[in-house]
Amino acid sequence: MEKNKKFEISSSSNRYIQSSKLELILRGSYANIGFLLLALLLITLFATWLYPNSFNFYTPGNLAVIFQHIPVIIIMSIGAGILMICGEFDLSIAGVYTLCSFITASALNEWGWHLSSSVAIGFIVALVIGLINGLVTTRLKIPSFIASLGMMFFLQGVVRWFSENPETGVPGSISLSPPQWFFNLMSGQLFGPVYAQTLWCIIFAIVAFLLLNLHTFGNHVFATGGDKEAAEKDGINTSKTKIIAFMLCSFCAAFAGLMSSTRVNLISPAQTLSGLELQAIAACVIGGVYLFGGRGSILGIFFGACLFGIVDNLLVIIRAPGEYMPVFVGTILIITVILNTNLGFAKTRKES
Amino acid sequence: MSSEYTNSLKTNRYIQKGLFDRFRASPAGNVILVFLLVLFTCSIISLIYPDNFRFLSKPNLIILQRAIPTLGIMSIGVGILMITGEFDLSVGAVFGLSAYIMAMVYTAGMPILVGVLAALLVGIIFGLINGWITTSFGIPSFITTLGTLFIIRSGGRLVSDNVPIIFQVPDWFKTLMTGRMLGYIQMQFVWFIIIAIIAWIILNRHTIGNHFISVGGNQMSSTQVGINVKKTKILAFVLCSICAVIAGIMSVIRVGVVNTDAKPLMELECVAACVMGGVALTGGRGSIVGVAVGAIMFHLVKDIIILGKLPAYYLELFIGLVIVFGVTLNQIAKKKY
Repeated sequence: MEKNKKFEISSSSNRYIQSSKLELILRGSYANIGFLLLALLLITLFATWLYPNSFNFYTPGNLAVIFQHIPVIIIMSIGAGILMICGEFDLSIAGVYTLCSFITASALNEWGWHLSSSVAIGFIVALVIGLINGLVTTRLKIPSFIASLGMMFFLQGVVRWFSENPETGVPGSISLSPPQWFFNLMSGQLFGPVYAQTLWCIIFAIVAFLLLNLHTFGNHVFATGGDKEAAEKDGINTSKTKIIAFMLCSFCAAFAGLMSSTRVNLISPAQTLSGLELQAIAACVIGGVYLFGGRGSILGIFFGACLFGIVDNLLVIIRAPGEYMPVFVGTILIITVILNTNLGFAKTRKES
Repeated sequence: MSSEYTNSLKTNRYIQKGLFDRFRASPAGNVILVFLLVLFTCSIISLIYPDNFRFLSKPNLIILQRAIPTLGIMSIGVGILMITGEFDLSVGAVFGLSAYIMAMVYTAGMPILVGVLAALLVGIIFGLINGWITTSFGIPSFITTLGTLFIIRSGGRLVSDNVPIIFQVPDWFKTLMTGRMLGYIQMQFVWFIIIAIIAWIILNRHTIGNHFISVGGNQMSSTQVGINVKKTKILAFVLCSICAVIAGIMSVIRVGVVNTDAKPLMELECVAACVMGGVALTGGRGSIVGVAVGAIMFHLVKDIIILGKLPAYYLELFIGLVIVFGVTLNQIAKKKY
């Protein structure tokens, strides 16, 4: 019975051979979102042409905001996306995002550590959290949704513990205030509206792309997410793959947190409650990552996160109330998933 | 297919094992054991040191009864939905918005019952939308409800303009929902128990409960035995939303102030309570008693931390650990027995 079903799947995906190039592009997991993003950019161009004075999208100031803000979402989503392709979730992203920059800041300013060691301790903490998430998920066989939900609550507590003033018991913010060269490295201006963050996010995207598409690890990630049992029969160590994916995800979140807190220079414990983890998952899903793993692309995630940031920015520019942003994100989320499910080959996958 | 068959052979445990093993193997077994243990320990400590650890004092018992039902009622709805194999992340938003709509209708001069009906109607509509999108387009409910979470939460902010409504409901309604009986029993808790009993009857003594469990357990075979999977799932979504509405109304009546910006992450707390109570994340396994006890445990831990004068951050640390620990225990129990 099982065998028959698999055969059907493989025969129905034979259409790849017959389809034209355009159809192939249309079926890619990043296609829908790419067109949507393109349409959005065309609309902004058009609007700038019509209302050059009131629609300030392509002004240097606004572009600078975009190029500094979007990379944070992109880098986080790349980590979360690789993990989701692997078939697992991480809800503790927001906690890692806050905690690691918090630790770096306290090490730098309060414990008097050297910059390099305080940055290193931040990342080490992130990797350890990823490792724990991965170990709990793979060894104890707990769904990662639950494992990282537990980690999310746990990290909220840890951040509060770190941030509490020992005398008053009130959680307080902390500032990073790094040396100038570090600030330049993480968020300095390169030329025009392009900032170091932009460069970092492109580097991250390229590395992730290479890792996912040209390295064995990427193959293992797709295989683990697509069919875990088959992957194991092929001799892939799925636990190891998943643990590495968890660690990558935590690392990306920590890097995004460090980048953002270098620019804003303020780390508030309330960031753990900001719903960043759901935003990252939403960006990935919009970008065509299949919720149950095995399907997705870095380009799609990149587009999805860009769309997130650009819509956010556009709504600010047209002075819409801030409440419209989530309404839009929610609608786009549902529509793109419906499109992806019904157009892409997700439909032919075994539906549980 | 074949692995499922061997699984069902393994679950023959019910015939061979003793009473205690059977109890531990049931979905709610572990959490009830832990709950009783915690309750017992707390009561003993409270009896020995009545001045330092006021667990059994009247104010504390009343605070507990006021705090538990909000999460408890919501978790019961979420639990039924999770047993059916779906998620609802939008309950937190429905919770905030419905209470606001009730207050809005009521302050516009309508009778309170019309306000309650309006809130219920809104909840039912959201449940129908969630269910319809999930079942008709075949997309995971995690995504559907993540989308509606964004939409409803910000829609609520648009409706309310971030201005809270202050209102006073009629006395009879206030007494009915949040009054006190016999000096010790809060009406909220009574309602919680009533809803839990209704949910238990629906799940265990009614055909639709059978359908919920079988759809969550194996959708394909449910279709083959003639269950209307789509209808069942939509019904579960609606029930879940109704529970969130009831919890929302109950939570604002006593204070008389309502804002749509209720607690963030409420939906994840509900999922956590359900999972602690032994509901399987993949559906098909779980019990109302477990869910209720899971929700109670949530607040019990909170209460102990406050009474023990521990720092507040212990709460989140503990909840995180308890979730992972609880699920691990349930996994072990499932395998062993």
